[in-house]
Amino acid sequence: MIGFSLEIEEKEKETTVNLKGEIDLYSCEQLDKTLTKLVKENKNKIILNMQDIQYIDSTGLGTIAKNAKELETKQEKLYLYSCQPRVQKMFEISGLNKKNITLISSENEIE
Amino acid sequence: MKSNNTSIKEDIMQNASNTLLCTSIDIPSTAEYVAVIRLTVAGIASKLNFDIESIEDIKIAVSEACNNVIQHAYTQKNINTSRIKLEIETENNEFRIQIKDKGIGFNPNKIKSSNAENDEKLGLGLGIAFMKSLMDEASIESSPGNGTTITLLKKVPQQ
Repeated sequence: MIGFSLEIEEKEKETTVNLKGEIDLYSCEQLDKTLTKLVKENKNKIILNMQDIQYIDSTGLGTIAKNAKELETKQEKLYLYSCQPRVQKMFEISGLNKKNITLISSENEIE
Repeated sequence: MKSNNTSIKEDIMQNASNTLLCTSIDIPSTAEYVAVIRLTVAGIASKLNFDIESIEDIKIAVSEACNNVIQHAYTQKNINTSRIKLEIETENNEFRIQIKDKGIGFNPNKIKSSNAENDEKLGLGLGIAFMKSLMDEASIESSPGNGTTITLLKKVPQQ
């Protein structure tokens, strides 16, 4: 079973959420809980490490978009680090990559 | 009369030989089963020589169709008996997956396929947009009270 797991890594100015596995209808609830909490605290820049995400569908994209929209109200952005080409394709088809979600391949790209 | 009968029989045999595979899966309408379904369908697609990119497309499209059933088809009242039935077959070089439910149904004309660029309501219709852009064909048959059938098609690669 591929499943899904997440791990939060707090740094001085950034909080990285290391994600692993598949983001679907089943696992997006867990992701939503974590993100909602981090967005509410609004302490650091939030980076989702997507390196080990092999699968994402509309429910996962919707969860990320919802939290990015909430961050926008706090003049912040949501960063997605190192998306695999497959995941990047889904963001492009959805048009969500233009919505306060910034795809980055290096931490230097964080504004 | 006799020759007509023969030709009908031949037609049926011809169709039968074009149907390489036909299977159905019946699962509860709950989120934890969607991963099982997409892995099963991916396994069948790989047997049919689809490339990795196409298999990933099929996985997402099938999951979106199942998500649609889980999120919208059944009300709390019939949640214990809610099922999703998948019928998978190849015919005439097409890989066809039908996702059927006996839920509340809806009027497909009232649902617009959309993406975030033209729709502020995030996620609404995104699943349908994915099915349409990732498969060769995606169609929805439904009416209020009569359940829903989603049909997904992708051309099988020629060997």
